[in-house]
Amino acid sequence: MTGRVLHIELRRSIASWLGAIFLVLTLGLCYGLTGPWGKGSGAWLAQWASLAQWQRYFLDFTWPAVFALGAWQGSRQRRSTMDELLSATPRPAWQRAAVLAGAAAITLTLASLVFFAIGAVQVARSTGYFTLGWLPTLLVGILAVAAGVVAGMGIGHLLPYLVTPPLVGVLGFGLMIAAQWTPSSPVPVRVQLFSPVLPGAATAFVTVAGSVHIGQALLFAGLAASGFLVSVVRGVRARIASVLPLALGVALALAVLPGRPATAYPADPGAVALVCDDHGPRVCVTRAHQNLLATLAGPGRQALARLAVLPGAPTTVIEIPDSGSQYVSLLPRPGDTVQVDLNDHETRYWGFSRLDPATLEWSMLLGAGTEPCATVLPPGAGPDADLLARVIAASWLFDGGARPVLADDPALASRGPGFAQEADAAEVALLSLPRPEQVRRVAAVRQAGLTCQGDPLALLTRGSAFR
Amino acid sequence: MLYARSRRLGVAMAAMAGSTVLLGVLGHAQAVPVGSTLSVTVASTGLMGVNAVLDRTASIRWPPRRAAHLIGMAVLAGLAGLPAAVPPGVVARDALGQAGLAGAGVTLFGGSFGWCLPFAALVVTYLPGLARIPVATWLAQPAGSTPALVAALAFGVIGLLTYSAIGRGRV
Amino acid sequence: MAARVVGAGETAPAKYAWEIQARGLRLRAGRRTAVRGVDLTLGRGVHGLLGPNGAGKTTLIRALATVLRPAAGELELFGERPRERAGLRGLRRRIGYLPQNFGFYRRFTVREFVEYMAWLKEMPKGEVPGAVQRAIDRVGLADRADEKLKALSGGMVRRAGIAQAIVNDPGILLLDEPTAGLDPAQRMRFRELLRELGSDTCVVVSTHLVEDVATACGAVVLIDEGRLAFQGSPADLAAAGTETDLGDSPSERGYSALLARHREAK
Repeated sequence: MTGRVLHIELRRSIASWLGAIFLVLTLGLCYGLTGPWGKGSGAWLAQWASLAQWQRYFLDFTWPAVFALGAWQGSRQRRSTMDELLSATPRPAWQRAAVLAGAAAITLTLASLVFFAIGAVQVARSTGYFTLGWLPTLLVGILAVAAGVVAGMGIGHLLPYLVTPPLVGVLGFGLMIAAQWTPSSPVPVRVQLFSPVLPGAATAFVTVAGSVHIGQALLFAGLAASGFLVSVVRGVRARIASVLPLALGVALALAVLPGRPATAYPADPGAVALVCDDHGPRVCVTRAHQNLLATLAGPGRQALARLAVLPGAPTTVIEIPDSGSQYVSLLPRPGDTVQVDLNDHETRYWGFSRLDPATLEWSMLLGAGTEPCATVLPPGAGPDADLLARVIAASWLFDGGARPVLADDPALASRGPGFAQEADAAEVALLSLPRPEQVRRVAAVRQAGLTCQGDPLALLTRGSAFR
Repeated sequence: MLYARSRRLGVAMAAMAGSTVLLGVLGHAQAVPVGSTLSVTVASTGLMGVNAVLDRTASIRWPPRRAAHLIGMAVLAGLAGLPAAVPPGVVARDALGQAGLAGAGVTLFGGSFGWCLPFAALVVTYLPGLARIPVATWLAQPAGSTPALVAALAFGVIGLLTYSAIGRGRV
Repeated sequence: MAARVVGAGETAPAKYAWEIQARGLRLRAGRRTAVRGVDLTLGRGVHGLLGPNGAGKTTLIRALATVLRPAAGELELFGERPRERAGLRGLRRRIGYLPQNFGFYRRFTVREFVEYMAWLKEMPKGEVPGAVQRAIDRVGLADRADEKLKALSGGMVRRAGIAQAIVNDPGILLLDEPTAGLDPAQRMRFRELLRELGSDTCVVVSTHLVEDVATACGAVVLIDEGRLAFQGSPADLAAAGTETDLGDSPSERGYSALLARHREAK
């Protein structure tokens, strides 16, 4: 009989609308708009963990709506003046509330699972790296959404006014964006983690700490319990007491949640482990990108062959996981290795589409096979002297200066015509020098890239480290 | 006076006062979209009378009264931002556009869901994919942004026309 | 009347003399004392609860429905006091209640709503579909059973309310102003239904309409200002009036006369 009543509530309450709206909004956001979720090696369709994390990111825009609609549903009993009739029935109020909350939780869970399943089809095609690391992210997300609707119902039951839903929605949304206004937000990380919204995976190597899952699960369980109790108990004192689970959840969460972003979102050791191809010069990629190994091996060896003209030339290509651009200067830079970051802003994975052999090879020759020493400005951000030197070195290695520098590279072309002319002029000047001097200068650029000392552009145009 | 009471003027005024306090405390231009949405969505629940059938039988000419109600709402929501240290032009623009959206929302979805459209406009403002489109993120544009003003005016006019002419969707 | 499964509890001999028994019952409605010491014994049959506005009819019915706790005095339903928590649940399963301000979920169909109420009354699962259909049939809503409540007229909603009240075959059926909004034909059918129900149920119907009481009820309870003014048969009610009393029918004249007498006596 309870099943039959659940069926009635699924059809007649806001539950089915809620699930549909939630799913359509989330799908519309990620397919209809371009945003950070489509970029980099941690794009939402690139890795399992990324999919789950970006799904949590979208809660920023859907969670307040879930709350508000829950509040509307929660006020149904009072709005319909059913109190009198219901208070004369024997079945305990918690069963009534549980069926209603259950209906909403079921549709929202289904919507979350459907979204994940749709993404999963594409993720399964694009990565060969699979662990169950995404599972707690997804489950805590579902718990958060269910807790949101139950808490909304509690508020709606307590304050059954027409203004409650918009008030809850707008204030909730305001609070959520206030917590994330700037990276240097005054809100402590622990409190930011009270929101179910995760910042989204910037790279394929980011995971969410277990302490975050545990803390958030405790918090949202408390929220759901309080919301449910408020819908059920009668009397002022009992209602005040029903805040206790939430208070307990907050206290436990504060104790468990990490206080620093680096602890909250650590690197995934499984994803950064290397997978190598030793048929020829060694080419390695991270496990997260293991199905790119074949793609990278050819261009990687080609690049090594071109770099062989330099003294002390590198002999291996190794993908380095993006360690976040703020750590790029701390990177160890061995001289016998060409380090490849598939997630940087220069040419490679950014935009998720340009993995053809020529582009890959070109990108590995940048800076004569070195990583940039400072944060690379994103495309379109204007001239960048270091980048100029890196590009000229790549062009010289790639085809000996036979073609204009920027022919292949729309991302670099976007830095403006002046940049292109400057690069071409500098390359012509380089080519006018005797061959051994050309080799020496390009090798010096590589050395500068390995040590992060000296000005690569000055080395290239004047042969000395100073401008 | 009775009309004011029946249309939840008190609640609306309280919300606007709350939004003033919010703007005052934060004193931040980024709080304007949230503040204006708060005032307007709460006030929007008064756009629909408690009893639609009763309203229909009343012998008042509704369209002018509805128009006046919506305009009054926009003006009050705009005034609510004045004491705070935020550009008054932005507050007025946001209040106007959001009031229009609330009117359209009430016409489309009825009094209990009229807040959906202003709320959606608020959420859209913070979508990362739309940050470079001023018409979509009109709520958060700085003072003097023409596309934002055009969007607000358009929403205001559409809302005023639909709400005063049709007035009520499904109740 | 369609056959139904008879539960074990119903075949057991009744351990009580009266379905409803009240002694010195005092009830509060908010801060006001609305019922001030009523002694009442009601058994099977249809009891019309009459009285002017504010006499305490609704308050009394609310107490009988176990919604309101007595402030003083004793109240026994089926021979049990509706105070103990566990016992209350059992009692409520055997009570049907139509509140004066009957609220309902607009999006539910008639059938869904009655099913929902049957679930809330903790009816055994197997009995529900049949009982729901029977209740809907009895109030004459069979052809509208799968329409949403918001699409029904006021009178039909009342009938849906009566259907939910009788769905659990209650031993005590409390109807607060059930005839409001019913058209004359419906009123007559409703009286028929009342007489039918009264054969094995203690039905308490509160109403302003003296005519309803006169034609459909086996007994009359008249209360005024929170006190019992009269209890007897409709014939006694009619006999109490004289030509000089206010009213268009013998029952109405009796009603006026009894009220006047009660007020004088104080």
